[in-house]
Amino acid sequence: MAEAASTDFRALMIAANRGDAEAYARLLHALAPVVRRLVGANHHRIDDGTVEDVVQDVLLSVHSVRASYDPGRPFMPWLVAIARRRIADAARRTVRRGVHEVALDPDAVTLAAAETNIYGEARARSDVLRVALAQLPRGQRQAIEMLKLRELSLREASAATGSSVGALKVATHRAMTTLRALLKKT
Amino acid sequence: METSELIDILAADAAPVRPLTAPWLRTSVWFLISGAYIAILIVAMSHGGTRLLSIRFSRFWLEQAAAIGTGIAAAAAAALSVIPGRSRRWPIVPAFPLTVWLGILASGCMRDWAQHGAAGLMPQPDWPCSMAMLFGAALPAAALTFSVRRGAPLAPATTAALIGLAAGALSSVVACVSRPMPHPTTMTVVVWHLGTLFAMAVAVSVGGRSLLPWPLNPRLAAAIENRSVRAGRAQ
Repeated sequence: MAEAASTDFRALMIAANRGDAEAYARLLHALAPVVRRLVGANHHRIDDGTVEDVVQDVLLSVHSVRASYDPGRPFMPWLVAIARRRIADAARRTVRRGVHEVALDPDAVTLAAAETNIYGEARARSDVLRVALAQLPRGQRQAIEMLKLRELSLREASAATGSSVGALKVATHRAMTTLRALLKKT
Repeated sequence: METSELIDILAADAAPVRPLTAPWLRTSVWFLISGAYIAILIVAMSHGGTRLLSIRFSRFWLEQAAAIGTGIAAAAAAALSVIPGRSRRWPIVPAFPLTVWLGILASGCMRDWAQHGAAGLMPQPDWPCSMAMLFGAALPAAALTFSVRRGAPLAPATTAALIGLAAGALSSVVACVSRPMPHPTTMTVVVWHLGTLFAMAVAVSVGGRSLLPWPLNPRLAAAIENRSVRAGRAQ
């Protein structure tokens, strides 16, 4: 702050417009915190994450229109007019984006919220699944254990249980329907 | 990209720049070019300007002077509007000559009403004047746009509207002076000339942002993009 206040922006700008790259670099480095403060004062109008983008936008605009600086006039009103315009442009972009986008909570927060994960949490708990399996008729439970838990093929399950392949398919389908209903109730 | 990296790029691009010419000088140059253009148009469209020399009404010439004054004031305001740090009240200045112009037209309407009753307030079709205005405004508008593009487009819509007003006001003089016959009623001038002028100003103003973007050197834009891409890869 003290450094910015003591910097002679006008002299540096005049030197920069004559092609003095060193003076120009000093000027831009001194301006960055000043512009950051100007943008920060308008943080309620723009996205928090874009403050530094707006600062860079202002510096780039200063560079683009530096021919419009009149050495006979004060520097700060010139800078503030540019910064104000670029901040207004950024605010307009923020509003436009807000109209077309719906803000979502981060995934971790959304998925960790208990009210959004009642069924998922219940399904994931193996003891709930075990209780549901125990409620199935013997034939259906056997089909699920063979085909889904032990991941046997239909032919292998048929040989192990003595049931036909068709009967196993029907039993599996009925077991899945029953399990879905039981888990929904939980 | 970090701000310090951007500053490095900008500092490397610090070639000497030619300061923008003073607004009054730019306005004068614009008026010289546009004035020559409308003078040529008037002479060409009025068959050597024979009617021009026969017009003796002082109100007519006052009306044209007010239109030219509006054009010059609007051009000066447009030139000032692209210089950061100048008063934001400059765009109001053309309102003064415009008010004088409207006042002269209003007095003409009153006179027509006193002489011809309600019939004196009826506008007559006048498409040729609108066409002449569009033609007459083309070069002044292009010249003024070129003149302000090096500045900062702080209020592009306002600057563009001022460009439309400046060019439209000068072109109104072309349409008035180059006619073979005087306008049947002053209301015809109000409706067709001011209507065309207003439409021009609005149309140019709507396209203001496209007409007056923030200038950016393509070489500089490419350097920033390259640095951003490299920064993205590094992450």
